[in-house]
Amino acid sequence: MPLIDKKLRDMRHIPEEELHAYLDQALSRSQCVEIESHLASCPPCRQARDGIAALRDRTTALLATLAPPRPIKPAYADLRAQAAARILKKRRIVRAVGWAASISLALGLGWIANSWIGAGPPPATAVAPLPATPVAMPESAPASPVEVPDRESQIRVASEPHPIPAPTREPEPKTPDASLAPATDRFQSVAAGIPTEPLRVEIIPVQQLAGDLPTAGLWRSVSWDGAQAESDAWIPRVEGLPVVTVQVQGDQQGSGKPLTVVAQRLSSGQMIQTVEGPIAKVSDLLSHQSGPTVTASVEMNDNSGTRQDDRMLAIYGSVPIDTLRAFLLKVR
Amino acid sequence: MTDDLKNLYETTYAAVVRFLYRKVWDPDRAEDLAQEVFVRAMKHNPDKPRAWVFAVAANLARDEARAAVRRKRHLTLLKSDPTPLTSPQRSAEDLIEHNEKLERMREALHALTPRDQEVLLLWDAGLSYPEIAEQTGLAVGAVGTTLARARRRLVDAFDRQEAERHAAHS
Repeated sequence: MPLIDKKLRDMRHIPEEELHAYLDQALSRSQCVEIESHLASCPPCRQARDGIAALRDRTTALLATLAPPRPIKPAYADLRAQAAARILKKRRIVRAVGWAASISLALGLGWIANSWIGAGPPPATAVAPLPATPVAMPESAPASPVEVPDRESQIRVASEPHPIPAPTREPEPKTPDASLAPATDRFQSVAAGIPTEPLRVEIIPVQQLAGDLPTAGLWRSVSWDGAQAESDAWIPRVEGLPVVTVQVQGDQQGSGKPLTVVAQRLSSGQMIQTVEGPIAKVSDLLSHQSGPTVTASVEMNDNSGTRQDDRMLAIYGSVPIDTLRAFLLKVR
Repeated sequence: MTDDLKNLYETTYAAVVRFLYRKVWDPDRAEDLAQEVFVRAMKHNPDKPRAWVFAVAANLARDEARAAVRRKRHLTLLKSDPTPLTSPQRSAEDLIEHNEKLERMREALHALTPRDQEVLLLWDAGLSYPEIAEQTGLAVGAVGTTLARARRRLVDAFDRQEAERHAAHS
């Protein structure tokens, strides 16, 4: 037997699965080099490789016959809107369940207390901590920052049913500008004045740094008067701050309120933006923002008294989150 | 992350529909489920979106299969098959033959073990060996072995059915 044949026979051939992995490009570079150098000198392995390549191609071709018709891909934005609506719905359900649980607990406690005390009247305190409405701004709060606008619009800040101790955290230790301090303080005082219904403002994590406004859709900068006319006189913004720009997205044909972004300047020169519009659009816009963001849901009645759902309000800007929360309370 | 998901959606949607179709055998349902998968991905923002999307797709398909069994609903390939190669010019005979071939192919796929089937379909959907390993619980090194076996068995099963068909016709 010639020496070369013996050498080939003794050579370890490449296992089948390794050839599959090699053809599937699932091996490291060094493994590929090793296999290729072996293939160069081993005709049986080359033959095996060709056989596996053919098998692989045939499998792919057979599987390709099992394909559905070309699917119609819905627009990404449509699916995003569905996802946003679901997130909101879930939050509402969680909130409702929380409320129900609190009421049941309070009633349960009341009943227990009642049975302990005897046949006397039920203690009034048993249900007292539960306010009647989610917007629990105590009337005694000094200069209540949430005032019901004179038109039929209301901002409902997300609220938690369970009492949380009033914030013990100090306001931002290094407030960059003195003008921000009163707002933060006001938020603190308001929160401290609500023993059972602290405000919970959701913080949306934002991963991306992008421009001010997403490119999708046509934005128009409008004058204050023009914006008021277009938005049916209500343009949400933080009261008491100078408005720099008002940008609007949406048609002017009266088919619903448009999406508005009001940019306002703090005395420190920093900018904050107040956004109001359909949930999908607002969340899409927020997904392009960096820095802290606070949101609230909006309830709105049109002239015929019909409730228009699925709108959302948000404030963002490169200022501390507590400051944004305070500003949210000052939105008119 | 949002852009990652958007890119993934643009590049992978068709593969997810195909992956689901090969499990539920109903093109409309496969599209519905694929959309559901991406809506969930947007809601959860997973770290490894591609692997996540296929894992959820596999779970949805499994739930769907269980529900179908409960309802005793039998979808046949002939009823729901897409006929991607069908054209108006194709004769009725050709169409029947094409559908029979699809049916044999589907049976060949079902002849594989669930694990072999899963690995093969995930590979065909474009997942890498490490992604397949993570989803199926196999070691990365075992993916090649499984894929080698699955490919061989699929082709063998299909050829066996072709041979049986020829024998029956002659």
